[in-house]
Amino acid sequence: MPRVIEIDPSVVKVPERVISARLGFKGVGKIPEEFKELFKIAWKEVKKASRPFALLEDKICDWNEYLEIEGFKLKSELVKRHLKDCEIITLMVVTLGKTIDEIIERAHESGDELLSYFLDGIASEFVEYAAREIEKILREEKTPMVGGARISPGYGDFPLEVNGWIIETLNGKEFGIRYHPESFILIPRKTITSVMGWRKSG
Amino acid sequence: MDRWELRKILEERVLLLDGAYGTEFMKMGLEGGVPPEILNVEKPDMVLDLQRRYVISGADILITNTFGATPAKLEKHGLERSFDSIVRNAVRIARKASNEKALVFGDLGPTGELPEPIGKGNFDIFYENFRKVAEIMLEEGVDGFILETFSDILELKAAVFAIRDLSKDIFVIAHLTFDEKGRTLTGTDPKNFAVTFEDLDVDALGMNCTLGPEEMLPIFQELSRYTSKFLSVEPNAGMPQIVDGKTIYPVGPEEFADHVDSFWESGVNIIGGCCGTTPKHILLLRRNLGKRAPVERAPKKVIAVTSPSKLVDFEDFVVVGERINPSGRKKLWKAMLDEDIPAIDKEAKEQVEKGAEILDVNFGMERSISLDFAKKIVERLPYTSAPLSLDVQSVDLIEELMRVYPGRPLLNSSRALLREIEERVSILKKYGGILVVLAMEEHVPEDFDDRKKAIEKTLKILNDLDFDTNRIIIDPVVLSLGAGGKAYDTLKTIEYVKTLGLKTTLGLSNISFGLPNRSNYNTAFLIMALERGLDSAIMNPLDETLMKTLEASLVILGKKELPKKSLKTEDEILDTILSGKTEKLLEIVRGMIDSGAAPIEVVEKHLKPAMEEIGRLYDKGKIFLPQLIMASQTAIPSFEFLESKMAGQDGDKIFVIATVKGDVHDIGKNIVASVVKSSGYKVIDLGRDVPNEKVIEAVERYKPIALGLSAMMTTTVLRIGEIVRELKRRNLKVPVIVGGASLNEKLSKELGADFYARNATDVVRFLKELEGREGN
Repeated sequence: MPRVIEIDPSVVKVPERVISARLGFKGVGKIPEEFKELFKIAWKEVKKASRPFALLEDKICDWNEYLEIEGFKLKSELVKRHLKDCEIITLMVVTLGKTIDEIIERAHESGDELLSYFLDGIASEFVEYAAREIEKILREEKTPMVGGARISPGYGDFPLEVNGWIIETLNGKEFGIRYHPESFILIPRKTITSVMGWRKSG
Repeated sequence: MDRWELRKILEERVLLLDGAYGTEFMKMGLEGGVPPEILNVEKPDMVLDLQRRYVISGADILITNTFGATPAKLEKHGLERSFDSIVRNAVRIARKASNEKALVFGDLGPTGELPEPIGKGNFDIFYENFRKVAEIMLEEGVDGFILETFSDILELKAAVFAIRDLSKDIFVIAHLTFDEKGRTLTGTDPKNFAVTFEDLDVDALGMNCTLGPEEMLPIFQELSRYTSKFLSVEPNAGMPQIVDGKTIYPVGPEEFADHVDSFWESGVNIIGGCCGTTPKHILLLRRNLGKRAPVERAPKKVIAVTSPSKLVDFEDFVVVGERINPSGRKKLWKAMLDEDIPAIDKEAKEQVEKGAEILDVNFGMERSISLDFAKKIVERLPYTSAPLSLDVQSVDLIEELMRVYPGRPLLNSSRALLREIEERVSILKKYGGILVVLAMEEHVPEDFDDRKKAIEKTLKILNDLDFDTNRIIIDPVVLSLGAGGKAYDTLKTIEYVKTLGLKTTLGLSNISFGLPNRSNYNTAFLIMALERGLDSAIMNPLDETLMKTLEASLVILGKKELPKKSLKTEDEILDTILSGKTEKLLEIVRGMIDSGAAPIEVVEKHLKPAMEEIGRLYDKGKIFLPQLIMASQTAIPSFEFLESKMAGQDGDKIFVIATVKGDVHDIGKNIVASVVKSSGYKVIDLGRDVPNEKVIEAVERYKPIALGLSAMMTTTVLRIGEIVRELKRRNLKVPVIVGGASLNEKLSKELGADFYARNATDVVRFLKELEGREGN
């Protein structure tokens, strides 16, 4: 069974410049005044509706031409580059849960496209920064081992299909996390998978 | 470790620098006003202790305690006699502290003087200072150099040259310090920094001090966009605050280290801390950084020249002012001989005021002008006026001037002769810059073929010299009509150079030399040359007719916008929509209907044009996506109201839209649906994860003007191809518009789509095109 870590939404801090950029305010660095009120409402909704948690499991690395984990090949140059020399990897999935998806959908169906758009953008960054909180915990816990970068399927040549393997390995279904069998898109939508490699220090 | 080994390591790993020295020494008892460098001699154990703590905290690179150790700076504290021991001891202490676990980099900070004309420094003074420090550090065996907290690119260049003249095998990091607006004290922004130093023999560029990590990040990201060098960063522990008479830095170690991911994503190769950071900051940076490979970047190449505060990009048409040229100008020649700097200044400023972006500087009979005067002009004008084009022939003079030029100049020019090009390229490789190459060999070209031959020869020489063709601009050679020159050959050459993907410039006034009414010929020729793609001209900006015609020509050719209007318009409907006032818009629309306007008239003459204008504003970047969405949302109820008034009338243009099977992303699709609806179309939104069959059925049922398909993922785009094939098989003729993060123009065509839409306004544009075709 995977390890489960619940994340307190109040500890997840997302810089305003990040949300501003995500929402399309190019080069502005903050939420413009005329959208501040809407932003506050959306931000509050996202925090209220999110039940962020992570599923994690460590696996031993087997390096051949590519990194193999229990026979599963991670065929990707990006993986080779960022997980080079790792002895252990952590498989991780972080999700905000399904309620936020429902709230985004409701806003769209009510015709409030702008609110729906804000909720979606903020939630996308919220789950990313929730993942960073998990990352910090792991780096602390695994000292003296040293972690590399956290990378996700869909980056570079890291195939999206790996989402399926990660969700299956972590028993995601039991925790309400699935993947679309054709597209490997994750459901709930505000869910991300990643891998992190660990090496001995020195 | 030498430069090449370290470069290899940096390809695979992000390294950690140490943290602050000054603020830490003050906590350890150093009195205010006492330079920390003296500790190397008087209290070496204090320095050793701090550096050991940085090593224990995980720093990969220690910097020497020599930030203020240039002779000029030490002299201000009466410490110039201790200069040698201060610097030597600094390296020895750092080496001892490193215990072979960390590299030792020699730290050089600025001299404290700004260059003339804004200060009392100059290139030679800076160079000498840095050379003296660097010499000792190299003797003592540093692994590299870091140039920290510089505010001026001339001083930074001098430091780089001082080191490189001593060693080609040592790693060099060059930092500027930027304020919150992203500028140094002398006005350089990160793009300018990147472009100016791209040509120079420096391994890494970066920034430190003045700002905390949050404020520094966007400025760092801008640098990252334009440089191919390694990237380095050392933020402060926040913006300093005075509390109870003490300076404190508010960003603690945890918060500081939280920024690692953001800098890493932006391409950092070396990260550390500046003022206010402590060994604890470095420890947590180490923890969060771990052992990471850097992200790969694809920086943008820019063809530009620079001065400290200006960057002139040849992406837009560039006016090079021709008037600092004593040929035929007795007064100017006399001013040069008299070394009358104010007179040259005046010539420069006048031209810039009238629109010159670069100033061509020609000293006439170069041997008659003192080197000192020429250097003063070249050092001065970029600060007071604009970047320069150095119209200089003597190779020795070129080298002297390029060395002291504060920025990246244009070098005007070389003929297409091996020796000439070689000499100039050699100088440019060392000092940076762009070379103008004439399309002529030994003799004046007779025709287009001569020019073409010269250009081909130039390209071959540059290839053999391994010189980037982004660093040359071709002059197609303008000959005076009065002397029998054929303007057409020059114009044809411009066209030819454009096919090679190269930039062009020319001496415009040459066309009319010796003729009356010169302005008329110059203007006419410029228009013709612009139409053929001319990128720049050395011309007279004081000629008002010429400049006004240039402006108008650029607008006509679509290379410049008409003068900007503010977002506020006289159109009440447009303003109401942009302000998001849904109810007010409904009121206005109802008012129009009550006054007798036909609903279709309100739609076609008011609402649709307003939404088209909003689409244009979005395309030009005058409004952002949220404003576009808000505008659509504001307009939709009014469209729906008018639609209800038109019920039963023919002519509903239907647009069917769906996100394909397997894809659950629909935000983009929803935005498109909203914007299309607010442009007067009826939208049938099938939702997301829609099976192919359902899409086909909708097309059969609604007979839409077009079908829109959204696919976000590489794993779902193939559905588009399946749907297009099925539509063809069933002979359902409907244009298909596609969009989504994984798509592009090429892939869309391969999948059989008719249009690829980058955004919602593209979709509306295609729909209108289709309507237009139907009408025909």
